Amino acid sequence: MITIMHPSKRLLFGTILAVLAIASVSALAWVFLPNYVGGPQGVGIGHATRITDLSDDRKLAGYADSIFFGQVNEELGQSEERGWPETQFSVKILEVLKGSVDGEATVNQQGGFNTRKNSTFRMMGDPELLEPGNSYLFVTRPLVRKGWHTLISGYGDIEIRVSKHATKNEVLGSKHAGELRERFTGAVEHQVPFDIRNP
Amino acid sequence: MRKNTMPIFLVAAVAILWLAGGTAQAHTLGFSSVDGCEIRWQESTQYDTERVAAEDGWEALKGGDNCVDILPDTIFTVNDLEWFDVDDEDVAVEQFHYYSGTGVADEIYLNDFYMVSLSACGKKSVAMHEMGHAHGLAHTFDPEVMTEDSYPCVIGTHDTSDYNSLW
Repeated sequence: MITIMHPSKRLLFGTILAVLAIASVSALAWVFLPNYVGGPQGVGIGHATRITDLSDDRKLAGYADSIFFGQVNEELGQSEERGWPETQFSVKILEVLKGSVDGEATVNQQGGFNTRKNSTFRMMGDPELLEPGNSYLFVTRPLVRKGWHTLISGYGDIEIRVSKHATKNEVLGSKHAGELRERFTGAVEHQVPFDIRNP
Repeated sequence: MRKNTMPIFLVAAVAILWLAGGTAQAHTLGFSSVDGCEIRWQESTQYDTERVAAEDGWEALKGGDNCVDILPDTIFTVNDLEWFDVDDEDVAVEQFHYYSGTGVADEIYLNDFYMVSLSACGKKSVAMHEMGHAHGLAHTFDPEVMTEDSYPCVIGTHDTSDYNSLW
């Protein structure tokens, strides 16, 4: 036997179902959408493990491909190719303590804005992106296929205490650069080569 | 004489307790992938055996008040964690990326460039280490899973006490 619902009841049930459906979709959108389209930005924190103790300068020097003083010219752009944001900078090389970088280099810093997750992303120990005009001691590993020198997060960018856009002589002649030169020249001299099977 | 030695004894006792408290302090990140009492995951990694070993290792600590279940994500659940691989010489052996916000999954990246050089135990340890970070554990001391410069593949005493302090 088929019971036919009265048209007014059908309308009532239909309205209730429609309201419930709209409420459900709105609730889900309210919870999830802000993370993906506009809405409040989230925060992302990257934590890297390298199976060596980089707080030991000799191990850091052994792990690094290049160690050099440089001044940031400009930000070149951002990439999310590997799944997380990374920002590239053009850097003028001022003095090399290890490696064969010369002239100008593209320094890559893990960090930036993750568009998929609507989040600002930074690596632990590396809360600030490089600033054009500032001078740093860079400690990097290479990404050959891109021609990048990637900062070793947490250890790879020590800002030299000089004014913005300082000249090469001002940077390299500063007390701070002198202290870092002494520290890292010694570390390079006594570097412990990185061997993942024998950390 | 006895009266005079008392303060010294007290200071020493307090110092010993303070030091003991310091070494027993939990090593935690302050953030984790745990949502309620579970971590729901999706994976896109070739290191599946290691991922499973990592999940089994940490889940074995469950019991009593410890509650964290590690389960695959479904259409009816919110994804908390995704596993990926990279293969590049410039980034770390392993990375854990935490993201704040509802429904935004955290990420674990295993770096094939280094992973291939590790023993079977070493690979498992790397996966366990990252899963430890997903539970909110930070680096600790002694050659345990959550130590940065070693890779045993059995969860140790400090790993366990840090886990217990959180969950």
